[in-house]
Amino acid sequence: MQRSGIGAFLDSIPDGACILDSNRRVVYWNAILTEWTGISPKSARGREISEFIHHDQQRVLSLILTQVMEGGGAVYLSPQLHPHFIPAPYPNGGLRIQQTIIQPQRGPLPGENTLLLIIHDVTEMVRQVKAYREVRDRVLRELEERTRAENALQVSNRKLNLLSSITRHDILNSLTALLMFASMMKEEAKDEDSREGFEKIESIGWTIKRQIDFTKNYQDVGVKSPQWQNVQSIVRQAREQLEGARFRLECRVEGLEVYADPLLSKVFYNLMENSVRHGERVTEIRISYQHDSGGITLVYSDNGVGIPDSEKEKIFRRESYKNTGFGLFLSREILSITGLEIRESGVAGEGVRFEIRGPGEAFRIVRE
Amino acid sequence: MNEDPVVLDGIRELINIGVGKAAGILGELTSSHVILEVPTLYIGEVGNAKGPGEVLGDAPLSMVFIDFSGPMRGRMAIMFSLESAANLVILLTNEADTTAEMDMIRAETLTEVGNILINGVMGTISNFLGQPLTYALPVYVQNRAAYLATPFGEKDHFLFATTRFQVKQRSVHGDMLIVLEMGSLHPLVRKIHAVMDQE
Amino acid sequence: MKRVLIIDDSAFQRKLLSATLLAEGLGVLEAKNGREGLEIGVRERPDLIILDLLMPEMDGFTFLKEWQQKGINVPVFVFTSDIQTATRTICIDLGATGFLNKPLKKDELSRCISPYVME
Repeated sequence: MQRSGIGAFLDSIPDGACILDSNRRVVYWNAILTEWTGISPKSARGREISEFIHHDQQRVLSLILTQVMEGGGAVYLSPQLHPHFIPAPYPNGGLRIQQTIIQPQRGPLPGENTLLLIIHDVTEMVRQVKAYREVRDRVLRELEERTRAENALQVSNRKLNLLSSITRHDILNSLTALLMFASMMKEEAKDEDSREGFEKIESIGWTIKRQIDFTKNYQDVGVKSPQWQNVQSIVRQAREQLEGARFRLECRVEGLEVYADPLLSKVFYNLMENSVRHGERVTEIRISYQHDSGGITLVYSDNGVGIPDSEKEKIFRRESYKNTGFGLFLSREILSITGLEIRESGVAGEGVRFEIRGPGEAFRIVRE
Repeated sequence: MNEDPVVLDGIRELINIGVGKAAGILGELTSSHVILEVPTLYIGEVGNAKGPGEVLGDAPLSMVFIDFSGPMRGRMAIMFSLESAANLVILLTNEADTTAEMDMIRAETLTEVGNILINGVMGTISNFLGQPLTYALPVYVQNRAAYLATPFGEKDHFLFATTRFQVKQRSVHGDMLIVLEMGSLHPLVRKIHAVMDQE
Repeated sequence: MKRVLIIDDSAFQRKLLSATLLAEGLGVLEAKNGREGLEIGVRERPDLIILDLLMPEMDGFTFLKEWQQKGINVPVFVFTSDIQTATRTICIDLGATGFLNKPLKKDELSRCISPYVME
C-alpha cells in the first residue's frame, strides 16, 4: 500500500493504526505504531497480527474476530479489559493504556474482509479518572467520619438533655413545695417584717423557677436543623398562644419565608408577650418587612410605652429590664443560629420597634 | 402491537442465541461464568402508548447503542440503570473499587459489553436472514430511554426485551431495545413464518 | 426408525431442528421444557436427546441431573450458543454426551449425531 492516499491519512492521525487482510496479516502499519513499538512498516508488513498483540489477548482476539466474520459489526476493546492490546512502552517505562477499535470492511466476495485497527492512547484519561476516584473516596471517608461524630454528639446531647430534664423536674418539684410554704407563711405572718421576708423568699423562688424554665428552652436551641418557615404562619401560631390578650395584630408578611431555627415561633411569642406585659397601653402590634440594598428587614412594632435608649441593649441580656431578659436573650440566641440579628430601634414613649435582619439568603419571598 | 406468538417466539429464540454467544465471549474475556437470559419480549410501534420511553420512564440510564443499515435499518441498544451498569462492570472486572458509579473507565467497559451483546444478537438475526448488515461504531450515553427512539418515526417498530445477567451468583437486570425502520421487520416475520409453515 | 427427542422451549427452534432431522430420515419427538422432556424420555425411550439449556419450569442443567439419576442409557447432546468452558464442564459433569452449537449447522448436526442414530 502506498504511503499516499489512505496511507498518508493514517500516518497523520495521532493514534496507532494498521490494516489487516482477510488472513489477519498486516497490510499497512502507521507511523505512530512504529513510534510506539519500534517496528517499522516494512518489518510489520505480511506478518500475522497475532505476532504483535499481547499474549494474553490471543484467544480473545480469535473469539472476537470470529464474531466479526460471522456477521457482527466493529470490535470495541475497552481499556479495562484490554489495556495493552499491542504493547506500547513509554520511553521512560510503563506501558500505554489503550482503547482499540477493529472495523471490518467487507470485500466483494465472502471471506474477503479487511480490518482496520485504530488504537487510542487513553493513559491520561485513566490516570485522571483514578485521581478523581481517590478524591471522591477521601471525601466519602471524611463524610463518614463526620457523620459518626455527629451521631455520637447527638447521643451525648440526648443523654445530657435527659439528665437535665430529670434534674429540672426534681428541682421544680422542690421549688413548688418551697413556693407553697412561702406563700402560706406569708399569709400567716404575724408582723410586717416577717411578711416581707416570706415575700422575698417567694420572689426569689419565682426567679429560680424562671431560670429553670429558661434552661429548658435554651437547651433546645440549635438542636434541630434550621428550616424555611413561613413568617405569617409562625406569627399566627404565636398569637394563638396569647388568647386572652387584647390587641389588634396587623401582619403584612405575605409570601415571606425565613431560614431559621424551628424555635422561631418562640421569638414572636416573646415579643408579643413582652408587648402585652410591659407595653402598658399596647392595643396594636404590627409586623411587616422592608426591602433595601442590604436585603430584607423584618419589623415588629407596637404602640406601647417603648424602651428608653439606655436600656435598649440591656433588654437582651439575662439580667432583667422589667423581667424581659430571659425571653429576649433566648430570642437573640434562636435567631443567631442562622445568622439573623435583632435590635430595638423604637422611640421611647412611642412604642417598641424590633428589627430582624440577616444575610441575603436568610429571607425569601415565595409567590403562590 | 404485534402479538403473533409464532413471531415473538422466533425472534426471542434468535435473540437468545445471540445473547448466548455474547455470554460465551464475555465469560471467556472475564474468566467468570456468565449466564445471559432474555425472559420476555414484546413488539410495538414507536408511536404507541407503550413506546420505550413509556415503559422505562424518565430516569437516566447507562446505554450503549449501535446503528445499522442494509436490508434492515435501525438501532439496537442495551440499557441499564446507572447503578446496575456500574455493578455489572464491577462483577465482570473484579474491580477493587466497589462504589456503584459510572465513570469514564467503566463507561468504556460497558461499551465493550454492549458491543459484544449487540453484535451477537444482530449478527444472529442477519445470518438468519442470509443478508449482512453494515454497522456504525458503538456509542455510550447516559440519557432517558426515549432518547433512543428520537430519530425514528411513529410507524417504525421496536422490539423490547428484558435481559438478566448472572455473574458469580449475582443477578444484574438490563433491557434491550431494537428499533427498526418501517419495512425492516417484515423480512424477519416472513422468514419465521416460512420456517414454521414448512412440512 | 431411530427417534430423536428435542427438548427446547422455543417452538421455532424445535421446528428448525425437526425439519433437518426429518430430512435425515429420523423420527422426532418434542418437549417444551425439562419436565415434559423427562416424562416423554422415560415413556418413549428415544435413541438420542437434543437439549436446550435455558428453559422455564425445568432447565437443561436440572434435566441432565434428573436424567442421570434415572440411569437410562440415552445420549444427550446439549444444544446451546454458550461456548463457555464453565458451561461445558458443568454439562459434562452432569452426564452430557456432547455439544451442538446454536444456530444449527446441518453438517455439524450430522457429524455429531450420526454415530448414535444412523442405522
